[in-house]
Amino acid sequence: MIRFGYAWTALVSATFHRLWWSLHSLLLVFPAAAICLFVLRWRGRFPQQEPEQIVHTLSLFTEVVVIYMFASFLVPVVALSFGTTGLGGDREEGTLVFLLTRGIPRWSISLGKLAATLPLVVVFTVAAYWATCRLAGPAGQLAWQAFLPPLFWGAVAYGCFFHLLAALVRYPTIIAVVYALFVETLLGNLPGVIKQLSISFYIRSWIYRIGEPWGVEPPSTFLPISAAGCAAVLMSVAGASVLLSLWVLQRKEYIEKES
Amino acid sequence: MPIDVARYHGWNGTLRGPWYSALAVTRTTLRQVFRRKVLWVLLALGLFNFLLYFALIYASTQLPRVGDRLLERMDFVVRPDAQQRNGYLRFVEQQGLVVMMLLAFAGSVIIGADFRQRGVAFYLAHGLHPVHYLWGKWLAVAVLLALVTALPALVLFVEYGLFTTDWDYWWQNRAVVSSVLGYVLVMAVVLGVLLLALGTWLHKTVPIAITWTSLLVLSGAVAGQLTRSTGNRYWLLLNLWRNVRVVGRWFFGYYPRPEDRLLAPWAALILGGLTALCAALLWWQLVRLRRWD
Repeated sequence: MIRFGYAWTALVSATFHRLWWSLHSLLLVFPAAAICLFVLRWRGRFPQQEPEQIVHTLSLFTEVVVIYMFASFLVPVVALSFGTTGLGGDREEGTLVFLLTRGIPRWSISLGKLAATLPLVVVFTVAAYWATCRLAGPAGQLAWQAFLPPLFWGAVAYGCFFHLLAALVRYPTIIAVVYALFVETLLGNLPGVIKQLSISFYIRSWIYRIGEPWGVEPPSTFLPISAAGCAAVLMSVAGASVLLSLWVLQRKEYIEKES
Repeated sequence: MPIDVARYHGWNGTLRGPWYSALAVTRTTLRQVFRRKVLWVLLALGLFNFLLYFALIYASTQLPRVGDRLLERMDFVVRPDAQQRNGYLRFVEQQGLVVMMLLAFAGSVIIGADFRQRGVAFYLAHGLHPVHYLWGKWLAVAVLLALVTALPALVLFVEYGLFTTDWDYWWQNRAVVSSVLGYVLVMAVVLGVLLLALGTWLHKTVPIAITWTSLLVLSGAVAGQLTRSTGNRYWLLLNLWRNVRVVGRWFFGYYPRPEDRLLAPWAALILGGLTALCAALLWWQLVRLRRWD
């Protein structure tokens, strides 16, 4: 058992270091920096001396930055870049076979990869959000406290879901890009209940519910659900994705293909 | 074993110029891309719009009363009107999302894999100049782009003339062909060179996908919000995808908003600068690689 623990910890540590010191962690800084620069330029247009002005700016900040740039773009991109490379990177480089021949259960390999990727997804998202909120002034301080839970759980749900994709398919990054750009956009813009099939619906819905007292209103066709419901769905998506990814890697036959 | 038994023999035909060697690079690259099942999924996604308009055009030619109304509702103008509105332009622009995803995938397969697995040395060892190698790779990107934009648009154009048996339709609207090809050429030049530059420097799918989506999606979001909050329309020039559209629309002469006409020269300048920068980065990377080899 102790040997298994050592092996598993070594796997988590190696994956974490490999992902942390990777080119894509550096590249993710650029979109986050672009959002920060945007906020710096944008905040000058909205004075925040009076409480009413702060509330007005908070409402705009939520709509433009939290929903449009974070929930719809940065959170899925960060999650797909780390979530799909935990397992997908090994598969792309042909090193997954060496991991699978080790004397530890296959499910623990999937769990170890997830244990290394999920903190990166969450820390990167939270750090970028913290920096953006700091730059936005008093309205940003309010937004930091209010909207951190939906973004945190959104990042966890996306991270676990993309990890499942990495266990399921050979090119998880492209499938994840198709999902994040095509499926989520398509479903998110359709009227009615079908948009409830997308993860971003629950993040946005949760944000709209929290932002109600500050006048953050969803579009008339959006039909948000309750905050508790959103939290439950995001946690369930994360949990189900983890269990399914463990099961898939445990059961799936590894086939080496010419890259 | 005699060398003929191994089916190896010298080339007996007429040797052609080095630019033709690019066709072999294109052929090999496309073969590698088409082997991926993901590409077929993306092509299928790209066909959704085409099939929709194909059915609508068919309905409009067979059941003119109902079909024309359907085409009107979908804002698909088969004969460019006084404002130069054009259904084929609309179709090509609607394919934008599929083009974005297709190229995000193709970047690592078309050129990134050559650098990652050191296949470039193999190409350049065959007496191929880096320019011909890049030309071949760019042609592969252009073919992929044309497959989801120009080709279906031209099929729709042919379909309308064919089902209405109005042969004059093709002649009267012959400008549609050159406009579609011109628009797609702008896309191919700008996006193709940018993608090749990203592929040579970033190699893997994830970094390419992150940079690609940030450049095309996030720049659009930031540009839109800055324009809205400041009222300064020049911020729209930050949107790379919009710049491609504005320059491409020049071939159709269609500018629905007055600011588009105003921003078109600036957009062309930005795209020209970006393409030149990417070409220089590409050249630098290849020359560096050649020196090391």
